[in-house]
Amino acid sequence: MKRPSLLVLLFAVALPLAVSAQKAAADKPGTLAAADDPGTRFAAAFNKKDAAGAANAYTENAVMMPPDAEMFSGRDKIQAFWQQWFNGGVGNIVITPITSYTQGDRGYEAGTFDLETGGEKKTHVKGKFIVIVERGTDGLWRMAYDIWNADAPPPPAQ
Amino acid sequence: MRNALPVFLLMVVSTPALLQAQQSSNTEAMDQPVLVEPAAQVSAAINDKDAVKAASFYTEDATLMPSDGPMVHGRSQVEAFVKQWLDEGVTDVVVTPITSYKIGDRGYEVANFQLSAGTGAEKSHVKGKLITILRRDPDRWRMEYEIWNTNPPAPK
Repeated sequence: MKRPSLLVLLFAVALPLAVSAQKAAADKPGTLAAADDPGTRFAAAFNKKDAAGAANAYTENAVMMPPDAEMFSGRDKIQAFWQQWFNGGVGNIVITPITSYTQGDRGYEAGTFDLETGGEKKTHVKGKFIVIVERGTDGLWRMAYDIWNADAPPPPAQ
Repeated sequence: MRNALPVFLLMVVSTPALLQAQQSSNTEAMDQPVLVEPAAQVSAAINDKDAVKAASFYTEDATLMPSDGPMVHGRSQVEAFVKQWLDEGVTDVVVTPITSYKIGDRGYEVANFQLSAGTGAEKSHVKGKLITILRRDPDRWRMEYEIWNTNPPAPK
């Protein structure tokens, strides 16, 4: 029986390892570029008061953790949540990332935000957030968990 | 000597790939004790009124993101923040993990919390939720970022 050639042997060993190495290369630690950042898409939709667009920056079963409210999950409820904000006149959000980290299809971002509240007298609310992000099968990064809070208590009601 | 050549070639081809494959196994979905221990240990230290110990579970360059307050940077400032909490009567802190996930040398925990604050007639019970970002230091996992906010007060 003829022995397998050295080339065949090398190929047989190297191919599975190369596939594994390719996956490993995709799993290297990185950061979220602005173009990939779901916060970029979220802010663009937010400032157009597009609740469906804002909700599309979240995973289908994302968990929202709003201040002074119970947490809830699901993209439909998230869309309704932001629609309620837009109906109240909230807009003009600016999101500034502080740090982000990704490896494989998961990561996080921490940052600050500045937005304009509704009502007759517009005021700005500044705060900070952390989001856990996941990359879907369509290649898009989306928010899977979103928590934020303000830098100061709300002013007393007059 | 001739027989050693295939073995050498195999090593040259496979070693870098094996190392990379090993690295990829660092991204794993799991609820690991190492990821939920720091928040639990901070709670225990606060309940023991030990601000130094509580701060030791944060990285040297940790960032706290308190609800309705400015960010706090660095372990010594975290310690001062916890000390202030203790002076305000914060105690009975309980953190209940919801999920945690390891991402290489980082990880996160999502959790609920409850605590008591104030004394006597001023005593209040607070419930809320938090996310901590953890980093693997040479000796252990520590919290690098922590953010929380509160749930609506319970109806009286």
